[in-house]
Amino acid sequence: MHEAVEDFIQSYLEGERGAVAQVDGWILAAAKPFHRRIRDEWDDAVQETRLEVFQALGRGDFRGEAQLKTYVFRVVSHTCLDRLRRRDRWKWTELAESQGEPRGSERRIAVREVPLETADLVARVLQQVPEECRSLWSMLVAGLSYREMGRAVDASEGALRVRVLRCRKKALEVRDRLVGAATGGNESGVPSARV
Amino acid sequence: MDAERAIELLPWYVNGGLEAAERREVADALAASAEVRRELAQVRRAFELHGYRLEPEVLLDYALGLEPEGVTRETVETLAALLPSVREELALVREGLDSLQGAGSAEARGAEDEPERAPWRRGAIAASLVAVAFLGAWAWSSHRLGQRSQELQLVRSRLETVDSELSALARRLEAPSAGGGTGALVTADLLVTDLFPTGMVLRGGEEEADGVTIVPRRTRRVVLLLNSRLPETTEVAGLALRDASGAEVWRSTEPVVRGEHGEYALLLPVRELGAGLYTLELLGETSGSQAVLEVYRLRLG
Repeated sequence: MHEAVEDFIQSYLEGERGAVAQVDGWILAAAKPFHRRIRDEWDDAVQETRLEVFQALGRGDFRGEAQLKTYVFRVVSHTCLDRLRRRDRWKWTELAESQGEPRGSERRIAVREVPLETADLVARVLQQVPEECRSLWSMLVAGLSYREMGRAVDASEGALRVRVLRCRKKALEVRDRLVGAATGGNESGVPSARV
Repeated sequence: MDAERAIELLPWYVNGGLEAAERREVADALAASAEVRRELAQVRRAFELHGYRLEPEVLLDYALGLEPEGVTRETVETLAALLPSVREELALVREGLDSLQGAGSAEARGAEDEPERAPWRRGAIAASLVAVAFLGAWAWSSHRLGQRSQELQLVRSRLETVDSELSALARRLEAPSAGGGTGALVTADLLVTDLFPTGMVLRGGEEEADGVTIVPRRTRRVVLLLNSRLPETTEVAGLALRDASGAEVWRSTEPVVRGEHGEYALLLPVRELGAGLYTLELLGETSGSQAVLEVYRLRLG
C-alpha cells in the first residue's frame, strides 16, 4: 500500500478532521442515490457504513489493491443494498403459516441469501418468457395486490389470476426444459445446475 | 374457498397482496390440501426466478467496469434489461459511483461557476430533446426484443440519428460540432435512470418529498424514465426544463408517448447542460387549461 494512503488511514483512525471529512464525503456521495428508496432508514445506513468503514480500516482489511475511495464505495453499496433488500423481504407474507408455524408468528419469510438459480439460467429463462408474463410477475415481486394489477393491465380480476397462473407454468416449464437439456434429461433436482 | 381458487391466489398470498380474510382462506386451503401446498412450492420457484437478485459484489464489479466473478457482463446486462429489480439496483449503484467520482471535482469547481451557454447550444439541446421523444419511448419498449445484442445495435442506430441531427444543427449555426460527431458513437455510453416526481409515495410507503435525483454528466447519454402517478388516459402535451433560477431552458409541445410500464422516457443531453439543479415538468391539460402535471427535480453533477 502506498505510504500516503497509510498515513491518510492513520489520520482518519485518529480522528483528524480533514481525513474524517474526506471519508464521510465519500460515504455520503455513494449513499445518496439510495435515499429515495430507503428514505426512513438512510441515516441509519450511513451511520452503519461509517462504523463499518472505521472498523474495517482499523482491522487492516483494506490492503490497497484498489483505491480507498473505491473500497468505501463497496462498503456503502453493500450496506445500502442490504437495507433495500430487507425492505422487500418484509413485504413477503409469512410462508411459515403454511408450513406448520403458529399463525401470527413474527417470523417472516427469509429470502435465501444464496440464490437457488444461477444468473445465467435466470437470464435464459426470462428471455424465453413473454414480455407480458415478465411484466405481470414484476408487479407481483413488487408486492401489488391483484386488484392493483387488474387496474394496471386493464383486466378483470378473474382473467388476471388465470394469466398469472399460465405465466408461472410457462416460466417453470422453460426453466425445467433448459435444466433438463443441460443435464441430459437427468435433472437431479439440484436447482443450481448451470445452463 | 376451493382449491382451484386458492391456487390462483397463491402468488398474492406470497407477496402479501391479499386482504386479511382472503389470506386466512388461502391459509386454510393450504392446511387442507396437499395439491395447494405443491402449487405453493411452484409459486415460490416462480418468485425466485422473477425476483432474482444479483450478488452485490457482481453489481459492484460491473459498475466498476470489472469482470464479475461467475457471471458475464452480458448476463448482467440481460438481467438488467429483463428485471426491474436488477435494473434499479444497478442504477443506484452506478449513480452512487458517479456521485462519488464527481463529488470532488464538482466541489472544487463550484456548480454556479459554469459559463453561460452559447446560444447555439440551446438549439442543440432542443434538437436533441425533440429527437428523443421516439428514442425514449423506444428505449423503454426495447425490453420486448429479448436479445441484448439487438437492443444495443438499435440503441446505437438511434443515437446515431440523434447525433447526426445535433451535428447538422451545430453546423447550421456555424458552431463547433456538438458531441464530437457520429464517430464517437462507437464508444457512446448510455445510462438509464428512474426519476420520481416530487411528493410521490413510493412502494415502501416512504415519501420522496422534494427528492432530487443526481444525474452524472460523465455519462454521454442519459435516458430519464419519468415515473408518474398520472392515470393511463392522461395525455401529456409536452415537457419543460427549468434551471435553478426557474428560467425555462427548453420546452417541447410535442405529445409525449408513455411506455408500456407507465413511464415517460426522455433522452437528456447532459453534456450540453451546465451542472446544477434543474426542474423538469410534465405538461398537460386539466379542466381545459394547461397545467403542470408532474414535477421532477434533478441535479446534474
